[in-house]
Amino acid sequence: MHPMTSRERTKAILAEKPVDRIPHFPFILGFCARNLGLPITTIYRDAEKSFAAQQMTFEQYGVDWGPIYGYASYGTWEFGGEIEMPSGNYQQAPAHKSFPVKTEADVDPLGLPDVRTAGCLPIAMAFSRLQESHGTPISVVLGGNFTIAGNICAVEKLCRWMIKKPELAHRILRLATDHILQIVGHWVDTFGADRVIPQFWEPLAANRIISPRQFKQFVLPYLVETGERIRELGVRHVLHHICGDQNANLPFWAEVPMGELGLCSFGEEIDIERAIEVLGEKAIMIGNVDPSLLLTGTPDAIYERCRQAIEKGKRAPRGFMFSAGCELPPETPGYHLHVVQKALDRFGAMQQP
Amino acid sequence: MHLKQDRMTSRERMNALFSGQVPDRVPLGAMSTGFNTRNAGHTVADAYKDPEKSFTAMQWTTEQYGWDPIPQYAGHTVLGAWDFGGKVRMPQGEYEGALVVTEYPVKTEQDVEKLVLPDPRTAGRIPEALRFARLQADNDLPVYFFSRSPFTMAANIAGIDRFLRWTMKRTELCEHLLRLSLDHIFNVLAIWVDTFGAHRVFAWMSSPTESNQLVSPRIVKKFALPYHIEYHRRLGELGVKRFGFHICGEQNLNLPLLAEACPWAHPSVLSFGHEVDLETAAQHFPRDIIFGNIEPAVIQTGTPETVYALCRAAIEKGRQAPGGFILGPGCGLPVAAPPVNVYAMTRAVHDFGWYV
Repeated sequence: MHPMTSRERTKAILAEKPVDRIPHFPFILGFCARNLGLPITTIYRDAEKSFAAQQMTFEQYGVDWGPIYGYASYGTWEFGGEIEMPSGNYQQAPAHKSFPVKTEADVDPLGLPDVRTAGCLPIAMAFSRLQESHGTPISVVLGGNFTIAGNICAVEKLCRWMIKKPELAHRILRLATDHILQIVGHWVDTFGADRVIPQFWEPLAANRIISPRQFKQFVLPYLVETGERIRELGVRHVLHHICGDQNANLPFWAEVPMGELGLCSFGEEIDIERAIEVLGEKAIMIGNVDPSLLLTGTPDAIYERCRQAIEKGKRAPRGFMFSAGCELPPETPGYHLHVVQKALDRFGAMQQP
Repeated sequence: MHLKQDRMTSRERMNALFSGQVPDRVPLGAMSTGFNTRNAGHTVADAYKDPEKSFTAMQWTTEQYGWDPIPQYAGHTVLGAWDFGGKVRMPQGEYEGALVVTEYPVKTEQDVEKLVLPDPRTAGRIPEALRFARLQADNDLPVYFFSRSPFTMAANIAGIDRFLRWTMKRTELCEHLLRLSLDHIFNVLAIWVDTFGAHRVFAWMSSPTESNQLVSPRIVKKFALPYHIEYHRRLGELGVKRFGFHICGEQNLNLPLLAEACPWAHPSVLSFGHEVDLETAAQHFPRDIIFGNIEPAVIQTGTPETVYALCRAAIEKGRQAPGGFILGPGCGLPVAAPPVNVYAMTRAVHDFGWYV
């Protein structure tokens, strides 16, 4: 079989058709800036440069899918708080500077932001227009419901309110949910439901922060509502980045609607075999080599860990894409990403029917 | 990365080049040291002080970018300032790419007389260079021996400004330093030949201090050229067949002198800075392999599109060279070069460099 182009491979995996090799799904942002000699902040400030940096880096390292725009602290800026762009040697993404909700009294006056103008959304929209014109998946990246809520009022406050003032926690989660639905609606209106693949990154729902009981009570209902409403809009695929250790949440994730075929990416804390067991029938599996191994491991250790992930992932009934378990650290040595590419070429090749 | 499949191995490509055959494509060299170690997650200094790290980083980076082993080294085998008793420090910070001289062994005219030949087994970083060379030999690669030209080495012993003043006022001091430099090079090279055999050794020389940004062709003719001629006589006596010469910087005015003397065996690899047009180089040296000459500053600060376009233009000119052509940077690959720009060179060779 003639090697597929990246676009053909992406299209095939979403259509559940055979691929020539396991696709490499990108979780590579600041690294792309470094690869071009640009400040990392460029990735988050400048849609055109960000898109081009990712595109060139993906071509260099054989990464599929296409460029994406987003960061884990989404929600703070959009609801009226402040973020600071990454600077220095080790910051890799925008960080919270000042949360929009600091006290209980701040919750009630909080309204929904204008999705055309708030925070990073104009940059995200400009980025999606580039995705559209280049024919790559149009993927608005947002925090998951709980993560946006935690970015509005600081996650430690949200956790305290879940116990002591649950009505405040629910009010913020309600706003986060409505905000997500407005954004997805805006993107669907702009690009069409069949082109939009929303991504929800949910790091704050990890079991290092909340219990599965809290997940069931405070997270799951909003995820289910969001999934149902998005499906009603005609969106076919929703991607959830189930970040960190969420082993105890996995059975609940299986209840979340994800379109006709979901996409679930996992942190290295979740074994891909276990993920396939729970979610393999409803979603493409994505994952999950430890980013810190990619940063500091030996090439041999990286190659072996990639082999393990690829060989496990290949058994996913509805498809598998290789990825780092979270964002590739920008300081990752270039040769280490080349090793990933070698492992994918060697172990990711698929037998054709 | 979707590159065309090579039809020759690197070894086959080099052999084709040196035997006057047409290789499958234009070879790609890199003159890379600190870029390699950074690419492997080490420091730039590791390229110079840790031969094992430096070698594996070189191998990995070579594989990643599809470089041919022309040339491959981790800094100079012999050094003027350090070997003769001066002080150097390792590169530091984000941008330094090579050793920095902090104290010259010769500071006064009197120091010249006191100067003695260094121990060829222990001076400077010769032990580390020998370990690196063993790794090259163990991996069936050409064993590079890298020196400055005697003129450049002599200037590195005394400091360039002092040495150039003496070329006007104290020529006997210059001659003494030049003689010591040449003898030191061959004292160490003899160890390489004894250890690895002359057929394995690839001698490589660079001559930045001979550039016309620093000296006139008259000075080159008087002080540098005689030692080039002697260097090649002695190289021939040792039986070393492969030679590469990085004619660094702006040397357009020196080209006729070098072309007339042309003391090296043919073909040798002649590497040029971006200041020398590749067509001019090929006209002067039709029996040699022309190597170059993408401007390192553009590789570091330009866009990938610019690097790619420069490579395309260089390939189109260079492939007309009758003695053969290798694409590469016009000097050492900058350690802070954005990797995507280095990849643009690989991409260009694969898009435009095919002979068949």
